[in-house]
Amino acid sequence: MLNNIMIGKYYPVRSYVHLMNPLSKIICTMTFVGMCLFANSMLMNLCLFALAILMIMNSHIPVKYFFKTIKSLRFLLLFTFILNLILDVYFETTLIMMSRLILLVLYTSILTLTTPPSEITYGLEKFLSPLKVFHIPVNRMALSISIALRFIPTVLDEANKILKSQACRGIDYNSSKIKDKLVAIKALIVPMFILTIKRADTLADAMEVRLFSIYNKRTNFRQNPWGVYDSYMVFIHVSLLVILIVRSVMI
Amino acid sequence: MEIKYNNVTYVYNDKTPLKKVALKNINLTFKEGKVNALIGTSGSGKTTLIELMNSLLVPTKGEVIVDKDVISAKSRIKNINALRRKVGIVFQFPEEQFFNLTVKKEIEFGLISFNYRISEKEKRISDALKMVGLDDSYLERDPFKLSNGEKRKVAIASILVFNPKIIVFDEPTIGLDYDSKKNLIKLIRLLKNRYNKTIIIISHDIDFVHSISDYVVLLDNGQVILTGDKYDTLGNPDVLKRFNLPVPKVIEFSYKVLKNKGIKMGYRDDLNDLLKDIYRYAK
Amino acid sequence: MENIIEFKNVNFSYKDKQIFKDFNLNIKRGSFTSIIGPNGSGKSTLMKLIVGLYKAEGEIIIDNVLMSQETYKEIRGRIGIVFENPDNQFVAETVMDELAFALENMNYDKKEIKERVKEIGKLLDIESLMEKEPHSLSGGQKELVSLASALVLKPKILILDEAMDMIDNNRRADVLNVLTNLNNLGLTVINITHNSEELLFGDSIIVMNGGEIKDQGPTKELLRKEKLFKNNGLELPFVVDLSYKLKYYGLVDDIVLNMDELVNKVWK
Repeated sequence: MLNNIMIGKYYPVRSYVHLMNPLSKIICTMTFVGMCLFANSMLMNLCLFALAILMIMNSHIPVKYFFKTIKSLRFLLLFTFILNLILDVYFETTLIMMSRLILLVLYTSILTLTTPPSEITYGLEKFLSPLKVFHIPVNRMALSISIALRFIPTVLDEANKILKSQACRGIDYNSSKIKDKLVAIKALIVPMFILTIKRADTLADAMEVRLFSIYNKRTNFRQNPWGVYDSYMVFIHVSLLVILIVRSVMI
Repeated sequence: MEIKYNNVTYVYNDKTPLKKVALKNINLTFKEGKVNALIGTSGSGKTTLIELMNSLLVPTKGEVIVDKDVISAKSRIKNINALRRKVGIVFQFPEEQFFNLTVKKEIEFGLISFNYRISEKEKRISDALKMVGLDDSYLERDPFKLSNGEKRKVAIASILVFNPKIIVFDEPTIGLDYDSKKNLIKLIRLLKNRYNKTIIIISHDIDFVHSISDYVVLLDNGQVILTGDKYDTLGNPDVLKRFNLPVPKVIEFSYKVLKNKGIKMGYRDDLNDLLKDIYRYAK
Repeated sequence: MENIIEFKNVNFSYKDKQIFKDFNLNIKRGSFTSIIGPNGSGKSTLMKLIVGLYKAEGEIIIDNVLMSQETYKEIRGRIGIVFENPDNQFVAETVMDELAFALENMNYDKKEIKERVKEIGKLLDIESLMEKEPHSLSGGQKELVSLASALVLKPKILILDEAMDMIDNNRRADVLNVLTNLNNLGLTVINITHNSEELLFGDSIIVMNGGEIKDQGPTKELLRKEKLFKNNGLELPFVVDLSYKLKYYGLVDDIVLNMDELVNKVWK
């Protein structure tokens, strides 16, 4: 029911962006964030908007999902606008601030809408792997996160089932009395807690029996292919970033 | 108290890429005061069907009528708790819903929306325990420390306590050994014969279904394929096999005798009746 | 050694309750043994002792290796386990990653992992499921995936711990047939269950109750002992029960394990 589509809002459809290697998507997103920081004129921001719109079109995701994301920002944008008005900031600067917010949210939405959470974890793991030099256990962290993610649909299903069971026994979720609400919460949390602990036990046993150990070196089987489109996109993004940095340094 | 499905369709996640049509145009009436069984391979829509019965879900199209209540996308039920009291649903692994420190509190919970005097409440709780075969000594015990069979009984008692007219069991035999299953069969017979309850059971255990049901509904891919009394449905091995369902062993034996030896013995309820038939027809 | 599993005078308590006392067990190499008993008889605890998830007093010898702090990991590499609820043992987002999990833990190289996963996929006919989410599969498919992920390390012993409770008779028979084939290829199979119909598969039966072995022996021999089953709260498989009663009426001369065979014996 409520699946990957709720967490990270993954929208499954075929597009070039969907098929990109998650690492290249993360690199592109990070570079875009960098570009936003260095774009300090309205003209540059408009160019970034053009880039974002291009990527959105490439992703084949209905535009309404992006409008939803921007809509969720409306209070923050309004707040920024009013604050800057009070502090008597240049109008252009205000516009640039607001457009940065919108651009950042838009681009990261493209990432989460086109990449299932497990792939994002994979991409992040590869992206952060240079940190291994500093003895940071990147692989272990990524494995923990990916196992946690894989259980999200299971846990949601269970929560659903418990909510339904308790509703059948008379819990009124719509009651306005505080006492009723507290009982309703307890009737969900206690069983979920117990189920989760039981499951953690069984899962740990199952993993141990399959010789999992945090001390051993593990192979990482999953290998997403890196295509021409990936190199192309990374090249474009990185070049644009470099150009922007050079321009803003020179001015 | 009738239970009727009129042209019911249920769609999950409509208008998204994860759209799934769980039930298509279901027309169906469950038999009052009898044991109705709902069979079908997993994913056929059985659980969705029963969740529509007490308004946990609302049909995308069509209506479900339970007694005088109409559950549909268009109508609004005045008193949902009253409906939920009429239809008690015991889900799969019902013991997972426990959240109280004593058996008494756990069962008492089902009476939460009633206004009974304490003495009346206590009587009802004792009665519910008795029905499932447990005595008052269980009242102060910790539900989490009981054996699996006992936990299952307490969970069922927590539904029986508010005296629903219709009781629904979703896969009640999972995790039960032979003894516990026998007790469950006894309980269901008691509920039907002495208390005149209408029982609806979802189960993949076809022999269990055969031993307990009066009326059977076969669901496949969200549609009703076959309904009828036990012998019209379970006594139809060709249909069961066509929809990838197992055949009750008692019926399978007579079926094989017919196919391999050409002797028509008729379909029986249990092993002992079958024995009499075999004795009669064996050369 | 003839026995692939040996328990000698094993004592084990869990949370102040003694589960096994002076417990002895022998399971022959290459056998397909069903361990049956009512709930609470100690069957699952037995499995945990075999894999070293719990530590017990006494000698436990698996595949000629004495269980100890140093050897339990080596022993685990030789045993594959399918647990009770497949949903609670799935670790990965796709079936392929799930199958690769154990091999990744043993640090096999990528090429080898790919080959093994493909091999197992072919063996159990689950190649079409490789890119799917384990959570979204049907009950029977989940069983096969759990089975595959246990077999991927090519264990010598496969243990199923009440693994087939949630699937119907047809799927159960499918899985048990696969296990029979694997057993014929040399795998020692142990099926722990409380469902009597599963006893028709395999060559030996152990009946357990209250932490004790009540009886054990070749399948047909044990199935003739009607009282044994009755006294331990167990039922006989349908076809055995029926042939037992027909024997009483003189229509057959011995119990039969197969329905077609029984039909043929009654009507010669």
